[in-house]
Amino acid sequence: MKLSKSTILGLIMSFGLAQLSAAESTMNVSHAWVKEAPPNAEALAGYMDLQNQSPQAQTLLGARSTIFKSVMLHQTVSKGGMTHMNHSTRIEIKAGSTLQFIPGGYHLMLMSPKKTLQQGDQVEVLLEFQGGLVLPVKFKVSKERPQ
Amino acid sequence: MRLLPFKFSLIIAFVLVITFIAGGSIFLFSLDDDSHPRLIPDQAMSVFVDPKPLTEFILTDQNSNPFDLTRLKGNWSFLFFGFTHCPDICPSTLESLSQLRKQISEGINGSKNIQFVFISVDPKRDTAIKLKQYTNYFDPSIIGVTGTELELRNLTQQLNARFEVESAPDSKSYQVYHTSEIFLINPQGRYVASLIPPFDISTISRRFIVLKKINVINSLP
Repeated sequence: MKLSKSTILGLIMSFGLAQLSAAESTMNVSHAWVKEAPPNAEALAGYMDLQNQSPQAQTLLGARSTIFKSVMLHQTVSKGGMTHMNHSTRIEIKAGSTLQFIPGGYHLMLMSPKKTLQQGDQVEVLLEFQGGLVLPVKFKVSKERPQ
Repeated sequence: MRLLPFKFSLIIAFVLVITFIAGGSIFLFSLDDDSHPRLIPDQAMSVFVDPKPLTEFILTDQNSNPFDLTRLKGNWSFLFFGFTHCPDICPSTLESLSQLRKQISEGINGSKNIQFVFISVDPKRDTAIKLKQYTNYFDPSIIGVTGTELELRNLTQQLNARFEVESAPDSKSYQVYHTSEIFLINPQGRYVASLIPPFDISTISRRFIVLKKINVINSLP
C-alpha cells in the first residue's frame, strides 16, 4: 500500500490529537495560579492541583511557557532548619490521585517573565508528561489560591 | 526594699502562668545545643529565658543607610533571612510578617517601636533598589537589608542562622539555602525568641504582647 503525503500528515495529526485528548482526559488540572509578585521580580511561582483520572500513574517531566525564559519543577524542602528549592526532574502522580502544588511544597519556578504580571492576568503554561503528552494550562495571576 | 525583686519575679511568674495556661499551652523547659535554657510553650515560638545580647554588626538598608546594632536598640525587631529570587517561601514569610504587624498593632494600639526586617543573603543579585521594590510590594514598613557575605555572617553567626549560596557555572541562576525561622530581638538588643514556620500569626502576636509586658516589668529600675 502506498501512502500519500497528505495521508501520512493526516495520520500524524490525528495521532497528535489523540494524544492531546488522551492527556486531557487522563489529567485534570484545577486551581492553576501564579502568585503575583513584586514588579521586576525575577522569579515567580505557579501552583495547581494535578488530578490523575487514569488508572495508570502519570509522570510530569517538565513545563514551558512563552511568557517566561524558563520554567522548572521545584519543591521547597526544609532540612535542619534550612530551606531551599529542589529541582525535580520527574513528579509522579499516582493513578486516581491528586497532587497539589502549594506554597511551601511543589511549585513551578517561573524565571524572568517577559512582562510584568498582575492580578487578573492569565498565562499559558505547557505541562509535559512522560509518553509525549503535552497539556496546555491557563494559569491565573492572583495574590492567593483562587476558589 | 529587699522584697522588691521577689515581688517582681512573682509578677513575672503570674503573668507567664496565666497567659500560657489561658492559651491552653504546656510549659516545657529544656536545654538546647548551646545549653541555653529555653521555654517552649509550643511549636510556634521558642523563647530564651536568658536572652543573649547581640554584638556589633553592620549591614546596609534599602535606602543605602547603615543598619547596625543601634538600629535594633529601642525597637522590637523581627528579622527574616531570604533573597528576592525566592518565589515560594520568601513571599509567604513576608506576607506573614505583614499580617503579624497588622495583628500586633490591633492588639497594642499601633506598632510603634516594632520593626520588621528582611535580610537578603544574596547580595550579588539583591541591590538596594531591588530590595526596596521587593519589600515595598509586601509592606512598605518592612525594612530591606543586605551586606557582604562577611557582614552577613557577623549577624547570622550570633543567631545561629545559616545560609549558603551555591556556586553555579551560570552566574544568573543559582540556589540559595537559608534559615526559615524568624528571629525576635528585644529593645535591649537581645535575641529573645525564634519563630518556627509555618507561622501561626495569632499565637505569635498573643505571645509577643506578653513578652513585651514582661520586658517592661524586667526593665523597671
